[in-house]
Amino acid sequence: MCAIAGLLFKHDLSRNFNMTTGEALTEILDATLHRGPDSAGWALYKEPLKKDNLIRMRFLLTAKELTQIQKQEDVEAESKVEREIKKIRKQLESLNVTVIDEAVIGCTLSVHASYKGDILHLTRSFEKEMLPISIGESLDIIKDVGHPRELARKYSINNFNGSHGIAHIRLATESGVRPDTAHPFWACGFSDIATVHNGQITNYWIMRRRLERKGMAFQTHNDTELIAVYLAYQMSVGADLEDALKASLDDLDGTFSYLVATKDSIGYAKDKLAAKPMVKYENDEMIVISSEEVGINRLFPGKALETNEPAPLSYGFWRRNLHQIKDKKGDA
Amino acid sequence: MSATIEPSTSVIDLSVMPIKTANEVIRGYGAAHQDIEIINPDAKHYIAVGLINPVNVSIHGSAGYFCGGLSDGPYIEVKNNVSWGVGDNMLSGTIVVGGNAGAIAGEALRGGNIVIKGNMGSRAGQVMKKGTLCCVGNSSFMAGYMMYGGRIIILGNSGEKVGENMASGEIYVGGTIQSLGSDAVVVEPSDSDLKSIDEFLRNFGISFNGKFQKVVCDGKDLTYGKPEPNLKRIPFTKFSGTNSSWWNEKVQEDIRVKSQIGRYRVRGYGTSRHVPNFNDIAFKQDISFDLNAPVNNSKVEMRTFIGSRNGGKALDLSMPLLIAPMSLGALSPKVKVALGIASTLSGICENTGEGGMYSIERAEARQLIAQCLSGRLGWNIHDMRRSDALELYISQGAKPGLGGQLMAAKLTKEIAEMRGIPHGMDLRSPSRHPDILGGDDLIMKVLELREAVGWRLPVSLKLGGGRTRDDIKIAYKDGIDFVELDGLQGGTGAGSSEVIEYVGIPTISALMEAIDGLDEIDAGGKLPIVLMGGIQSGVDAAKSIALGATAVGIGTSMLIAAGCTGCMQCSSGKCPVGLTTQTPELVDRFDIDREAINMHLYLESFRWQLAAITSALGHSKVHELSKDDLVALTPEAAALTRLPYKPEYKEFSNKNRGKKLSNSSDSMADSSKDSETGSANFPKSSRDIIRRMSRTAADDIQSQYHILDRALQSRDNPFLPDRPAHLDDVVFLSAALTRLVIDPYREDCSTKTKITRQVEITQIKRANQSFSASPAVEIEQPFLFTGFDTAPAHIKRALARAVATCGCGYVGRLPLVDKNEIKSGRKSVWFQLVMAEDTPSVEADALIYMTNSNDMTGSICADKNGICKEVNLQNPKRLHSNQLLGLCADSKTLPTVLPHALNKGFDILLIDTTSGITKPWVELKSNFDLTVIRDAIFRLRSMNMEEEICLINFGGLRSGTDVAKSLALNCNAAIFGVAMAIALGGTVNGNTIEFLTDSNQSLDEESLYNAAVNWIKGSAQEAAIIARCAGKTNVHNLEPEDMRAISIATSEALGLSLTSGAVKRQRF
Repeated sequence: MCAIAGLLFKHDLSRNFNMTTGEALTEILDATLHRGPDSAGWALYKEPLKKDNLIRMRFLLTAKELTQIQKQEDVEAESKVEREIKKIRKQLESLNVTVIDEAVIGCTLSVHASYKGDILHLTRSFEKEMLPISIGESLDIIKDVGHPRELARKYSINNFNGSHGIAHIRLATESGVRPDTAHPFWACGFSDIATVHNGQITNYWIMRRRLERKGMAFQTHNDTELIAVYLAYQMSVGADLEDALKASLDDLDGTFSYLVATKDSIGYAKDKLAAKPMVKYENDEMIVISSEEVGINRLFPGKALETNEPAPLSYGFWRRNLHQIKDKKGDA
Repeated sequence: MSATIEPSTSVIDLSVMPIKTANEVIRGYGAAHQDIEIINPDAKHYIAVGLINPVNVSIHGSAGYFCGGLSDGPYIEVKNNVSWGVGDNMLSGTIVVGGNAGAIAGEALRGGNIVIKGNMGSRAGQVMKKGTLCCVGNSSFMAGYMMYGGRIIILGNSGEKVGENMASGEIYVGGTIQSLGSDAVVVEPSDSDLKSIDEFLRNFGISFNGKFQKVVCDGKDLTYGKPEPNLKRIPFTKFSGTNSSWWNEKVQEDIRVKSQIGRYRVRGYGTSRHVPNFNDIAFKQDISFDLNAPVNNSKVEMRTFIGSRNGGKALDLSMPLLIAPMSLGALSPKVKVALGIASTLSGICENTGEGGMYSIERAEARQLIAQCLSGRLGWNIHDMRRSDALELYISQGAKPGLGGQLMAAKLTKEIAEMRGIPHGMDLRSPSRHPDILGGDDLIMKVLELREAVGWRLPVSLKLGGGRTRDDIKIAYKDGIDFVELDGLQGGTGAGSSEVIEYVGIPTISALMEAIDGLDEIDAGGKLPIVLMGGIQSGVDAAKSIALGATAVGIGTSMLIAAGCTGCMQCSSGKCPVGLTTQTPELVDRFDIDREAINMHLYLESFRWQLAAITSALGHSKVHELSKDDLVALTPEAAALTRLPYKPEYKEFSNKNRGKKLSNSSDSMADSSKDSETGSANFPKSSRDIIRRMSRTAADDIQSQYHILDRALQSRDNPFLPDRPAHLDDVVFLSAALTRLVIDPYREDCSTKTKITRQVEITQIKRANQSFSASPAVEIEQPFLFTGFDTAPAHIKRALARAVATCGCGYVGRLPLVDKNEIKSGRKSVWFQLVMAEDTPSVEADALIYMTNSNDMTGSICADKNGICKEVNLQNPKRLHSNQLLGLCADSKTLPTVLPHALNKGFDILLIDTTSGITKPWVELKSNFDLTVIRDAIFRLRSMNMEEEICLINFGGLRSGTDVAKSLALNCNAAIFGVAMAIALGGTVNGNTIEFLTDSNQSLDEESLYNAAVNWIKGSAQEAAIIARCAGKTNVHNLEPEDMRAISIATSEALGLSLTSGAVKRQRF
């Protein structure tokens, strides 16, 4: 119940396109705002923090979220937030993560840290106690309750001008309206992988229990998180993204169009009824995806665009600096 | 953006003018026949929606959703692209699109021409009925999906499944056809076809030199094959409630009918079983009426306005009551007129139902809601404009997940013409709208409707009870003006009988879920709810309003007031009193004037009751009624509504009433000795009350008091403490708004079943990697059969063939027939039940070892002498590499058997809910202990080993729906015994089944084979229909979370939640 958005610049050459990546994603969301006014979110792929191989981490601050909901700014709430941040710092320290830089924005804590070990291992050791929103060399997920333009200001989204990103606005269906149930979802434990989704997974509980038995953890009751966790699981047993997308067509039931982004690519998968809309547009320098053409048209006012939509039971992905872009069919 | 503008035309700049204003201006210019230029459209939605004048509109750029939708007569030119649904429901006119069109171009087109110069998106021309949709470029998948008529011309290539499920019309493809849809066929176009296309293309200046292929409907799926036999009514007391037997008359009849027709069954009316209802709730005060000092009803404020949440003109109701949507088609034209008259006389509101607006009814009804369904049958801008409110049908309580249904016997030429569909088909409308595929698209459709009528009318939503707690939030957020919420007891003209019985939640639960859902997002009281589904009197209405409804709706009760006898043959068109029929001699039995007055009297008595109760409870306004006025009389009603459980109110009030009644001259209570009706929700007493209401003048206060007294009486609790957990008391939640239903009558749903130890997430194979395949048996349906080891040879042979044909399996100590005897090419699957004295067979696909529930010494398998063959089970051996190994467990042995089975690597756990699967026809003499299924799952879950052993259950399964329930409880397949014996002509005689063996009387083997195949097919369809209602494309994706219990015993025994209850979910 939502709108999805995706934008990928194919190469690093100078661009003719005159919006920043962040601005463009925000505008697509705003143009399709009627589809989901509850919450919004972005998965932005920023320049890797070259120095010392730092990683980006973002955590949800539940105490901060609470003050946001209750619109309170009392001292007690502030001290709760402070305690929560301290707890995160302590936990990270105990796991040999060295925090270089940190900042509180909205109801999240953004951390730049140096860490030499395995991200999956790291995530598994703290995911029961902390709420990681994203971890990666490039990935930064920002999501919150509210309208995209207003949140873009709050989180300075429009300054982002990186290579690619995906974004989402949500009309809540079966799980609550909170920052943590907003999309995108990080494929928990897998560096730089994020998912947004429009539709409903109708075998949610069967798949969730299957994945939990495999040791995968869930933080919410949101079915998009299931997609992220599913992809993460497949990759944890050695599948590549393309294989995982294809397998998801067999394993997930219901109607869905979802996007997944990695360090250098954006992929999609669409169910056998192809009921949930998704329109794509491509030119020499970029690929744009929106739930409605009106979203893409925002980026190219007054232009007639050659757009198309993926076929039922299909998946595909675009990789930066590669020109092969092809829809592939799942097994009927 | 610059554009060349003709000086004489009017210009609208959409970069400065909002679309709402723009459409008003467009309509204004249209009325003055002035041409219009639109600049800076930038894919904005709803441009020129609802335009009904033959004017030229030029759009200089791209248009968004529904450009030119719901129009009649305009000429619209779009320079660039359009998004979804261009020309939606256009009656006449022309739309030319210079660029590409998004999905569902020309959806529900009813006339005129749409030309797309570029490419066209998916599902173009879905449910179109007339006119021409032409695409110069390529068309995406499923062009002509479910089209009923008209012409699609695709000059380029067509994508997959062109003509999917089309009922009529023509599709011409100039390029290649990627694939044909189901029931579509390619034929040679005729000369006149080509001539007409040529003319069309020349008119639009399009040149084409290729060759056309023509796609039309193959006609194999337009009608049901064999009709259902005429049946005598079985009183509900014989099949529902605490005292009915498991294999009752109705169950047996159902099995026999399916073994004849070979498909799922269809009937009308609502659910016939007992469900918790308003009769299980009482008023907190004993409302005693004193004839000498009558309450002053005229002082009670009843007037209700509904629907102005978004500034539309509210419906003005003289009391909080509406008539439920019932179509012309389901009902005869005369009945629709009578409903119109009665609604006007009583100052309430009537509803068109599916299939369009009937002009005579429009003239008679002062207020009329126009209902918009998935097939857009008869839907058009003119009827929208002359209605008083619009209603989008999402689902209905009687059959959530299904669209409208009208059998050919009732689809007359006139009705077919009005709906724009071919005459003579068994109409099964789509279960989803072409353009409402969730809450996100719903808002777009709602806005289109609002634009089309200039935001003048309320827009409501018809919603069947199910995932109501989630769905209602979407309705609120999408700005719906009011919701018509319909519970399980709601009626219908026709629908799958299993969906009518087992999909949806009781009316009281639907209301509670809706109220909870709104409360969770702080919207309590902000979205009016009109509650429907089994409402019978002012008493039910008062209880509904006290629980939180704004108003109620009545359908079946109106028909009973007008003479309905409750024969439940509504779908057949054979209504004996001329209500639900189109056969002229039956229609003539209905007297419009007489029945309009009867319905009016019923409505007035309804009003009187509602006012009297309100007044007696000390209120002066009907909307002052609250939960504080109510108590629950049964544990179920208390659990579902969270009202205080006060059974003493029943005895107290009924005792007083009984005395009063016997003193009076009114002998209604025992007026008729004839048998009960076929529906527990409209029993004889309900019918008597409604009839009395419809024959009693409103000013006959004495009689009104007596009727009300009777209506206030509660019923005996159908869910007595000695009613065990029962599969009948489990219902499914259908997909509606938050989830999307998979069309239960047409879209694919797999029933393929793999019996193997472990269910796995798809494993991705890579080049240098191989998986060791565990033993597995694949069958086409999740059905196994047992109990025929000692049946007559011809029965066994027939069953063996049927099992092989349908891809099922047999479970028994012996194979049905020697393997060599099977004539069919398909391999017959046999799971051997191995008792202590049996020798495991290498022929068996699985060896399932029996356990002895009397022996709790810890040994797993013991023969009657107590000699344990533990060796076998300690080291279970496969006699061939793909042989499965299983153990049987019942509630006593489960704690020992399950861990053993897991430790020793058994593949199958046979869950036996009877007293022993190997005992002959044990299902006849046994109660069914459903807790063993629950315990098996919970134990596995607690060990983190769910799905690490294949669960197969046995005991008391009677239909595909029962198997769907088993699968949803996480079993992989289910075993039928007695049910198949009945299908094969067996007669239940006490504790055994008798097959006729006399060759003169018994059926020949071929007929027995057909009966078995038919029953399997019908039951498999039932399971798949249920799964699709729940939004699944595979029956094995049913989950426990898709089910709810309506009785406390069942809720506990199966570990399922009640249909509504105290559980609050996460924070919102």
